[in-house]
Amino acid sequence: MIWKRYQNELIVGLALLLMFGAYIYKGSQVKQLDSTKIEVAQSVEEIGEIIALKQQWGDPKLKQRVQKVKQGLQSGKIKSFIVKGKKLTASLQGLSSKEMNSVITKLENIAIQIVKLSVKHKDGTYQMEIKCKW
Amino acid sequence: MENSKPLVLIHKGMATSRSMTTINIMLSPQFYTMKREELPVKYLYQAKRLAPSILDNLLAEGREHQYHVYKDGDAWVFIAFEPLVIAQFLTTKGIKAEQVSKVFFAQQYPQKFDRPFLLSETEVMSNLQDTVVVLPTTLINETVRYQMLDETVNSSDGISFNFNSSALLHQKEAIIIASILTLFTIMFVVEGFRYKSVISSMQEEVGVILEEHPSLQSQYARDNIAKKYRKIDKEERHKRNILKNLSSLIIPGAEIELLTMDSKRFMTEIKFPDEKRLLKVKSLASKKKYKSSRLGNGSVLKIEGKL
Repeated sequence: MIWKRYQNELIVGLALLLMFGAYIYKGSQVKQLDSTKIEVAQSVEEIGEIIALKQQWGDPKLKQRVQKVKQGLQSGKIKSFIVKGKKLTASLQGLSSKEMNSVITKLENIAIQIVKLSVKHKDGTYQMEIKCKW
Repeated sequence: MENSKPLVLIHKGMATSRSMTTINIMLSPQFYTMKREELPVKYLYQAKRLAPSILDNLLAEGREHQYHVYKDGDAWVFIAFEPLVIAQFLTTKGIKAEQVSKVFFAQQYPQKFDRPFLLSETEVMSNLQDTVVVLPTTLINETVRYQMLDETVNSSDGISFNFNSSALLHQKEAIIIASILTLFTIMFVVEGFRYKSVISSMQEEVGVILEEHPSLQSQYARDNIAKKYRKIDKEERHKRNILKNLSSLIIPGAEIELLTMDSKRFMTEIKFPDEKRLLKVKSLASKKKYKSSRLGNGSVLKIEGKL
């Protein structure tokens, strides 16, 4: 009987309650959207960075690229140049200053990890020992 | 559909009720004004709009009326009643307005009054040419037998009695407010769903990227790969930067005698033709925060540092 006495107020109250419910729902979605935006932006940035890093430092073509290090050098100056697995061990001798610089520049420009680099000046020429991995 | 609630005929000579149950009421013509009109109107909502103007000159001015319209054969029946007056009368007869479920009008059931119904010692209610009217008993032949009220009514014929003396809001206001609030509710829900779909499409975007790179699908794997390559990237960029810096120290006339670099440190020895250039490079090396020292008393400068 009481509900009937206040049925109009109850109708309005119910509608108000529903509206608040819907408002809270909308608010929660807005909040979730904001956090998703940040998460997605971070994920996309992180994934992009990982992909770029992986492409750079884990490039499967590095084995071929590393061969460029000895390009332009006379075979007599290459004491050893061994590529085994993902490692390079090279020993060069009788290099001119220009050749030595060129080898170092090539090493710098290939995305390989320089494990050891040794350059010695002896009798007007340079000897180089190189150990790299990727 | 029949209504199971008791039907109480409301007329001015009625007895006081003590019942507290929910009831339906049937108003005698004493509580409504009615007019039957044949109008070129097809739909009920159109007829309802016309009700105030049809009954206008039959009603007292400045009073608040409600209207009920229904079709009877080819004609429309327009009924006006005053909820406030009825509610006040009901109160005097021990019936609270909120006890009333549905309101019927005697005019809706003229066949119930084909034989007169005795309202009081002086009045009867009777069907006169399809119109239910209140007549003085003196007009009725003494031999006529009065009838009891047949309480059978069709629920769909009744209207809700929306008068409530203690209510803060009238039904019309309540409906308007509730409609506005419902509109807002719909807007908020629609907006919420729109945001939800945007969230889903954003997550799908990431999903598409991850599908192209299955090895990165788990956050753990991503963290490990990122950690591994970030470390390599940082260290190798640092090594290359040092090589670049060292090469900038080889000024014209200077010559590298020795250069070593491993994963922990680097060291170089540079030979200079004169003291001036040696001192200049020494100064440049200390600006770059590299440790530098002259080897013996000669012209060779040793530069070293940690990675």
